[in-house]
Amino acid sequence: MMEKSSKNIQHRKERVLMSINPKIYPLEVIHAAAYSMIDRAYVILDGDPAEEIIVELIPKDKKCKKDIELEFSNELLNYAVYYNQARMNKEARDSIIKRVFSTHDQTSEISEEPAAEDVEKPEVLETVEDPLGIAKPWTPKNKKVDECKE
Amino acid sequence: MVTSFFEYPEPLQYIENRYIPKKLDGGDYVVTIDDGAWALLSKSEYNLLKTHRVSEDPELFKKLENLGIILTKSNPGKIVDDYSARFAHVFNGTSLHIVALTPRCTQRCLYCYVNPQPLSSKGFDMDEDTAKKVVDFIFQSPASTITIEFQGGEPLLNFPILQYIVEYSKKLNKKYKKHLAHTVVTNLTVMSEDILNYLIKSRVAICTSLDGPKEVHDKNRRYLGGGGTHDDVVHWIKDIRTQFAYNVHALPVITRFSLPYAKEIVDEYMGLGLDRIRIKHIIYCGLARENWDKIGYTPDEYINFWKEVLDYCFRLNKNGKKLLEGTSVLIARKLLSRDYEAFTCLGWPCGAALSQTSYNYNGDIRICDESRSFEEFKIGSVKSDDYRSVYTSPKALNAVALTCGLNSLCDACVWHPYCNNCLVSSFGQQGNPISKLPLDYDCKIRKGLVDHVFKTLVYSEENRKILLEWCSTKFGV
Repeated sequence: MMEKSSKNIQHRKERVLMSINPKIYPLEVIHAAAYSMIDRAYVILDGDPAEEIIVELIPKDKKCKKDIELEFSNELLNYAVYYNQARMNKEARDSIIKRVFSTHDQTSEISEEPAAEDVEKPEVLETVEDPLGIAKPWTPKNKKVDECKE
Repeated sequence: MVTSFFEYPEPLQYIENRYIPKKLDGGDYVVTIDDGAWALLSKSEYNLLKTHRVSEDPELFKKLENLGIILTKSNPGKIVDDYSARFAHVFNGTSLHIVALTPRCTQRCLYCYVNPQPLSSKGFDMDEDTAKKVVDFIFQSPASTITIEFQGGEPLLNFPILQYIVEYSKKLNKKYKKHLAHTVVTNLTVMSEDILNYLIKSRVAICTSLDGPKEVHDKNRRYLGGGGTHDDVVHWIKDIRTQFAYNVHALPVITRFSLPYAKEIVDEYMGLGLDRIRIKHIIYCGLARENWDKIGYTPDEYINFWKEVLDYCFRLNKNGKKLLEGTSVLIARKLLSRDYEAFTCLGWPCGAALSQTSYNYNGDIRICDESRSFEEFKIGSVKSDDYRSVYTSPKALNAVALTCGLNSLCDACVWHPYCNNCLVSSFGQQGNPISKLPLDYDCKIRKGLVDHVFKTLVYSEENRKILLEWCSTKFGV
């Protein structure tokens, strides 16, 4: 394991070593942050995903060595927020996209008449017995379907 | 006394949509979401958003809800509509069909993105049988609008086949009843009165390249024999516009030689009475790739040049002249409206293998016109494939997936709803269609363009007014 400074950062000649706790920053975040640095640095990843990830940053321009570990730290936070946010609202976004696709009728190529077996049959609803007559439609009779997108 | 808090109002409930923030130089924050909606927030407003306390500011809540930046019980229907409008090109089928009638050309331009063939080459012209198959393939598209664009080489070198495609497509369209349009992209060097009369009679739109004044144009665009083409192009632009009273569109492609001539290039267009100029950068394909050391520039150099052109156009307009800059209009329209802006290269995903396709002289189908110099982007042939099999093939679907930007963290960029990475350019530059985005040449340019247009719209009242006027122009740019 890398010998730790107070900030888990070691400066060596022409390179910086950082120790990242994978319980704070998951691998996908570390990968994204490393990827975002490739215009400024060569990035080498090592370590153990369960214990510690070692990030080695070798600045492409030696003059830019200063603060490169701080830039990387900010990128880690940036992508951590990005992935957290994406995870939190994933279901809502999935539902929106599904509705977008379901509102577009996929027309087939004009030159082709659909084969008889490809023609979608109207869905036959199973009849539910309702001897007491309490079943009511979910939406009022005259309400447009568009208005019921929820 | 009866007491009840039964109807005590609950705090406003919401979750954040996936938004991407960027701090601007003035201290404001811009946040964007996938369907292109955006908001410029003060630091305190952004703090409320990022700490999940938007409910504390009902006015902010209402604005962000209306934009879809926060999701509430009442706005998913609107957001679905916004997404549908923004991504209309995903659903509509291929509308732009670019037909390369021949790779033979009278010129050898330094930045040509295909590999042009000499005039004397044999076996490179599209024949009638292939042309028929191309048109039959085109009309399999479910798109209600079909534009057939003739490209080359120099497409007028194979004029009989251009005529054949125009006539045959019109004939087929009597059955299909689509909105059908034809365009030819020509260098004008083999134009004649007979050809022009046919194009006018058949309502074929004419586009050409004019790189600016003679000293710039003739460096970039030369005859195979070595002479410059400026005089001939200018002659025909004038003739078409004045003698034939027909419109001709032109655009300049920018090389390193053009960089010191921002003002002069605009003046050349003004002098010819053209009312629009869309500045175009070179991409890493075909001859441009071979000549990059001579003609290339850095993204920053290009952005600075383009800003100079744009500023000059703004100044001219303030002085009562009318000339719009097309790139800024294309981007501004994307920033101002949820609707899809029909310009295939700035789409997310882009139009490659989706809203546009390209047919080579031999019937090969490529994902887009710019990809013609790379065999890797072939997705089928009109001689052996039908529309459905081409557009559901793994190659076509992979191309679309790659321009979604989800593979390269393009979608983590604040400007992603307004541009995308160009996989053809990435392939040319990096040898891989999966771009290393932080190193991507085109990405840097596109980001710079969107960033500048956005700042112009929100921070420059005077220029915003002009830009909005340009955006309201009815015709394409």
